[in-house]
Amino acid sequence: MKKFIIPFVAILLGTTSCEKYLDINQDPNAPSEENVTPELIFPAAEMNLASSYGNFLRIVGGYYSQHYAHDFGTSNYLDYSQFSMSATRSSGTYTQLNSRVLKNLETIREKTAESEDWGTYLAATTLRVFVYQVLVDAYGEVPYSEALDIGNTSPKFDDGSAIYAGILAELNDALSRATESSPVVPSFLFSSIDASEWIPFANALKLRILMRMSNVQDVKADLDQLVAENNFPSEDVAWDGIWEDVTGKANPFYQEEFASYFGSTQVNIIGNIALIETLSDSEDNRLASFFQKNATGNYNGGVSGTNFSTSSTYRSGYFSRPAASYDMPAYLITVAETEFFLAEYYARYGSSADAESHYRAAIEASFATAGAEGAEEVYTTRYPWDQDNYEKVIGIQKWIALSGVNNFEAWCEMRRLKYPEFGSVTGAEIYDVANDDFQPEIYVPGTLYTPILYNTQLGAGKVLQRLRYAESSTSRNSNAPATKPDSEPVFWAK
Amino acid sequence: MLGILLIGSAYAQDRRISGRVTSATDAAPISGVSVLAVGGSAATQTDDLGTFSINIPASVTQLEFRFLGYTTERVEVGSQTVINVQLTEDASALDEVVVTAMGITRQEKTLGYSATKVDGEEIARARNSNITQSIAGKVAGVQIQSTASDPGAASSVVIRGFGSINGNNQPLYVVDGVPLQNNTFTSDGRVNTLSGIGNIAQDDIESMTVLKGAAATALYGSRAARGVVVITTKQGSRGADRNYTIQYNGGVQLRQVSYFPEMQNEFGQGWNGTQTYIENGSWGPRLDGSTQVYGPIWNHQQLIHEYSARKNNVKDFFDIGVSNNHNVSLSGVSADSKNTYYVSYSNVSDDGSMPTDADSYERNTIAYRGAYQGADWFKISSTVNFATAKTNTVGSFQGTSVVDGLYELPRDVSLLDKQDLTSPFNTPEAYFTPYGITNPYWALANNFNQLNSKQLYGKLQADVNPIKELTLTYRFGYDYSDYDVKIGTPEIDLDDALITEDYGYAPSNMNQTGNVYARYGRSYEFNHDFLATYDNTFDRFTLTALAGVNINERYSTYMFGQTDGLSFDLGFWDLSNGATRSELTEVQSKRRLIGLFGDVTLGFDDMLFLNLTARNDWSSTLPIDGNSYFYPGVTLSWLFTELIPQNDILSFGKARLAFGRTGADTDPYRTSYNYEQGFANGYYGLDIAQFPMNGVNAFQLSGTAGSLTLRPEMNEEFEAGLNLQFFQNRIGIDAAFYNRKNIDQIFTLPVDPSTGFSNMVTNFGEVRNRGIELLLNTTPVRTSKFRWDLDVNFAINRNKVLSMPESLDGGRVSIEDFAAGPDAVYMYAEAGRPMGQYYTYLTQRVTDPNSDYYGSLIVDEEGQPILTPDVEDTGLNMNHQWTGGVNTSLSAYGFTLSAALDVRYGGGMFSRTKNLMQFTGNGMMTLYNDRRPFIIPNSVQRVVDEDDNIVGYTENTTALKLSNSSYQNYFNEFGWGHGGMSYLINRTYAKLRNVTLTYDLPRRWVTATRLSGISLSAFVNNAFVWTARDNQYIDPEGSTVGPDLAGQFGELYVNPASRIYGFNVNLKF
Repeated sequence: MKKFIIPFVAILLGTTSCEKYLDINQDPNAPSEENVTPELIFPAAEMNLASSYGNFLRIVGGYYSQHYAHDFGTSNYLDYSQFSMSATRSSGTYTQLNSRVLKNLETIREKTAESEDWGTYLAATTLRVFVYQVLVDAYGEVPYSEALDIGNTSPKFDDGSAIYAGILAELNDALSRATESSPVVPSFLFSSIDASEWIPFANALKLRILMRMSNVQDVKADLDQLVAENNFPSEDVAWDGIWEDVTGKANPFYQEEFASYFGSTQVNIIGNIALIETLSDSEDNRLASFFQKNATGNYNGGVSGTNFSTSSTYRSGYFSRPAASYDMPAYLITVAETEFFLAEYYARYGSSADAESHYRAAIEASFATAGAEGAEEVYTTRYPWDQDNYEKVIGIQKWIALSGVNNFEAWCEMRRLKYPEFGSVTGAEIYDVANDDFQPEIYVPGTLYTPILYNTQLGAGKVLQRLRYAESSTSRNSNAPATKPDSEPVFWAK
Repeated sequence: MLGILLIGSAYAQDRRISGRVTSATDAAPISGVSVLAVGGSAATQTDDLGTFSINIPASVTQLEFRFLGYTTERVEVGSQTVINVQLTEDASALDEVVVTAMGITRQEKTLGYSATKVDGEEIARARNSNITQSIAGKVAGVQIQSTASDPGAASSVVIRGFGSINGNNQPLYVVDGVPLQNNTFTSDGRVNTLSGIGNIAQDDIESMTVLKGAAATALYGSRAARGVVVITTKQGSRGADRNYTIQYNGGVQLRQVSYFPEMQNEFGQGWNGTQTYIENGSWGPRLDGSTQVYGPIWNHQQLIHEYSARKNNVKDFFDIGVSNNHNVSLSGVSADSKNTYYVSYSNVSDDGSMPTDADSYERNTIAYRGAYQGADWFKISSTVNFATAKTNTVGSFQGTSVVDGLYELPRDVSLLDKQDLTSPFNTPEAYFTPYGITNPYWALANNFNQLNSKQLYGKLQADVNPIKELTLTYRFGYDYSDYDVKIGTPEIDLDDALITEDYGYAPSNMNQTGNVYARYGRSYEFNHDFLATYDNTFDRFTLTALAGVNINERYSTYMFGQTDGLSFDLGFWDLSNGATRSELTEVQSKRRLIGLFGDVTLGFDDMLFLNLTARNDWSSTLPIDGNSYFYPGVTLSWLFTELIPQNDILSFGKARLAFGRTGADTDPYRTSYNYEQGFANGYYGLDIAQFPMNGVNAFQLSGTAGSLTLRPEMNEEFEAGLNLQFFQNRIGIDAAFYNRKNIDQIFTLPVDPSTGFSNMVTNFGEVRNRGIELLLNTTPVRTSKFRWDLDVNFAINRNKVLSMPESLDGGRVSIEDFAAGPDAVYMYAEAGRPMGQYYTYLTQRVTDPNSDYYGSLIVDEEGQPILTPDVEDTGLNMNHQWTGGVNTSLSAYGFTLSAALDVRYGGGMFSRTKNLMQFTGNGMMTLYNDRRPFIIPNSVQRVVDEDDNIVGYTENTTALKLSNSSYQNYFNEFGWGHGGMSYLINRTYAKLRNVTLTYDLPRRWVTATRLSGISLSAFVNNAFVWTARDNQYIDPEGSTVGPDLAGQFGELYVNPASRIYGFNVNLKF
């Protein structure tokens, strides 16, 4: 036997050549890690954020804010229209924001911190802070302090307030390191390749964070300083002018709901009677910017909690769909939103006059974004400034202003400002399903109503307070807490 | 042992010898016995009276009589002219030869593990184009499942249960000592075969042997961790009275759809009890035979029909698919016996039950095997196989597929007048429903899915015997395959210009961006094997030793392009047809493996056999500094009947024990973090962002984190078995117990995305499969004219996930899932449970045993069930509790009637078809309470205090009714009171896989022609399937998800199953 084993041993003795023969496990389809620069990663992180925040969160925000209702003929989002969210439904966005956005931003932050490229570091940090704020606002609690480390597959969930404190500190730190002339890698968000536009964006974001915190924490000193600096964006921060009418390259909301790129067109979203009647009632010209006319040239809204499936009258052509086009911007933060925050700041800590001027500026900015005329009518006659009820006027106007641009933020602000409020009329009264009897006229403008079929775990007359923890997290993370009730507010909305 | 009667005596130079061969047991004649002149080339066979005659030259002094299952006899001719021989049955099947590892043959008695052999004849009988279908139900402990009954569909073969959670559970196929690539391609809900087992012509097979245990498979190395199917093909052999045989085997088959969901015939088109003209369901008013319009008004025209049930409106769509298969072979041996050759050509052409050949499969194979024995010490052999296959697929998916169009058809709509596709009412333009589905005839004509593949495989082998006891072998095995896939989805681009009235939902809502997808791929594998085998006998001991090296390389590559926004909406499936997007992707993968192995078998006294194996592998897919792994095996076989006196009851007994480990590596490129071109997902739309965008390219970290510390996984198996033969082989029992563990599995573990990744590659978890297998072979009746064989096999496999990472909540991980809106069904691997546990949203019941309402269904204020907030354990899992098979054959006067029954008991599965039946109102369950208002029986509402705490229950009095849509919501949103259970069915079935009647024409008729054998047969495949009571929907064998573990999840819109009637003729020359 021995002499026949020898040749085999000889093969093994050639270990070095053997090792070389087997050293082929580098994926030829993936660039090597050293060659992937922040410049190559940043746009991918941006578009993943746009695809979640500008699409899924816009849609659910729109339904929960009663901007949107469900059209006849499909039932894809009927549960949103009933103020529900399931753990499986909320998983995709949670996954995308964490793994595709935050992780890639983290790589950029690591690389730029090493090379002291503080401009790009600020840009990456700003988007990271933006995402964590969204995650807290949506889910209440998420992993933060132990997140983004594959070495720990069960990161603990941090309280929303701790995450807010953390991201505020991160933002302050990043702002302190960059100057306006610090170079930033090219992005889809801004045309400049320095930090001059990122710094105002970061400030506006900081204002949003502080104002959310302000209901439950004393952050006046920070706010005073930020407002005094008065370095906020003069234009809406949005992905604009980058979209093409091609699958995978058009505005994500448009692709999901209006294009037929992905199989048959599903017409789901229509305007809600709450928003449409409120805008019509105040003869607000933004109506025509936010919605398309229906088949007969009118603006008709649907009712939350139904898709009119048994109706012989209120079918798909009857309702108005949101205005959308392949090149519509995907907004992150608008001038109007910032101005509303400033109005609230002055109403609370400063003079009523300052508050009113920012209130007016906010409505003007919203009309400008919408490309509509007639802001003055709104803030002088129908919804004038009311210092004593500042939360109400800001709440209602913010609900309107955000409805065409940033529905997710509208849902957040409804939960925080508690306006608009629920009126006494219910959806079931507005539309009697059994008799196909629709009475839009009994709706009271500027109010919310209980959907016809509603999330009974939330209860009638309530705004959904949070998205259920994502199944992609709870089923894989032994430190994930038990799902909280749909009625449990996030920390700043208590 | 043998009785030779010497009658008469004569002597001549070239003599004619005649005689008769009978059985020693019952003196019955034996036909088909080979009679060979030892040392010469003359040979013949006995006829059906057992007689033969042969001319032999003077130099021949002995005749040899061979017949399978009997001992071979050699008879000195001497001066006889008549030689009558009695053959004794091979009482012990002692010399049954089994092909085991590396193409090595072993006597079965020496094996310490379970190896089940199926003869080629049995495989060829059912004429299945995929041969794995022919062994379904025949081998205990092997689960064979066709993914669909459509032509060209791939099969899943799983030996002794699912062990790997997300790796491969399919066995390694080895053809004549060379591993065969076995790839499938999944698209449009169909799993089709690309290469491998589906490309082997049934008539080329001599035998198939299933090696189940780890001890059996250690020598094949890593890839044999899930068992090995060893296929031995036919080699050149002599004919009856000539040096060659020409054989033709062929026939025609008729395929007919056999299993439909049961549907109601009382209510027609509508929704929530109201008649609607454009609805894709039967929730409308009661059918009354009146004349009604339906569908949109197009150009002031509208369809009318009688509002009554079209009981066969689904069935009517299908027609009978005609299939053919032909195989012709030439097999022979040269006059000097140095060359053997076998050449065959086969053609299979299957047409499915859909009209047209849109569902069809065509395969051509050519096979050549030759061997040259140059000298006593030198032999060279080679095989060459070439196969081409073309599969046309009718996709099964949601939307504009045929099957969705059929199942969502209201019960009162007939399909018979929908074939004229020039009518706008039969195309999406004015089809009666615009809700995502369309005319099945239109779908059939305009969706395109074609797969073309080629495979070339074989070997070149040299064997040298420097000394008698030693054989040195070098074998080069090669396997090259390539494929072209083309999938075309038509563009629907309607403007509703001629629609006069759309009843609320315009046909243009059906608009879809068409798509052309083209993918071209190729792959190869080569193996170099160097083997040294040593065989010797020392006194009472025998020694067989083997050492070898295997060097293996596998490579695959493909490129695909797709484009959409089609310029030509239909029929032009070329990448140039896209206007709005074009995408190109390339993928390559290469791996190498070096294995060094040894195997020693020691025999004592022909009674006790000890086998030791050991192997070390080095794999390129593992981290370079940890790519070596070693694994041993040991088996013991004891023929205890050698110790007891010969008797008429227990003629043979063998006990066996085996323990083996098999190490396994993983897929390439899982040991690092990889970047990929940037993209993002929407909720429904995939790749809603796709780089390059706006002239910018970008990369992102792949969602799966590779592991720098990956270890090989280990499969460990213990097996004990017993073979017994009673009453001279009239009853045989083969029993086995096994306990197999898959340890340290290499797994793509889903992780909380807040780790920065969705998945990580890691070693974890342990899965155990243990079970028993019983095989009973009996011959209850055997006379000279009549024979009845009855074989029964039975297997129980208990599968358990022993451990999972602690990081997972509840230690569970999703294998496959389905989510639609708020509905979801998950199939998990969960620690402490059998693999494949189903979870879904369940209805809630009162759980307080002290409550008066204990066990009552809890409903909300609208009277509807309240579903659990999280998915809950359904108590169902995918595993059958037991499986079994009965195979029988009756022969008399040349007729043989055989049947194969396959039984699989227990287990659950996901069925979208079932759910669709309730969604559309077509299913029987939607007749609940005759669709009149009802209060859910035994249901309660919760009583809550101010803080929303539940303080009690009160009887529910809220009725559900069609008029306020709550009746239909009860079905559509609450699974008619079952929550997500409305997607699950019992997987149990019994299937009469095959019934065949064969007639071998009497030899005296045949000899009148120039032929040496003619047999005719008629058969039915998939003759009947019996399903569990709660499954009135599908043949549970159907799957649309994939060929492996994930494929066990269930079906989404699977095409209905078919029954096949066939007629066959076999001619031997």
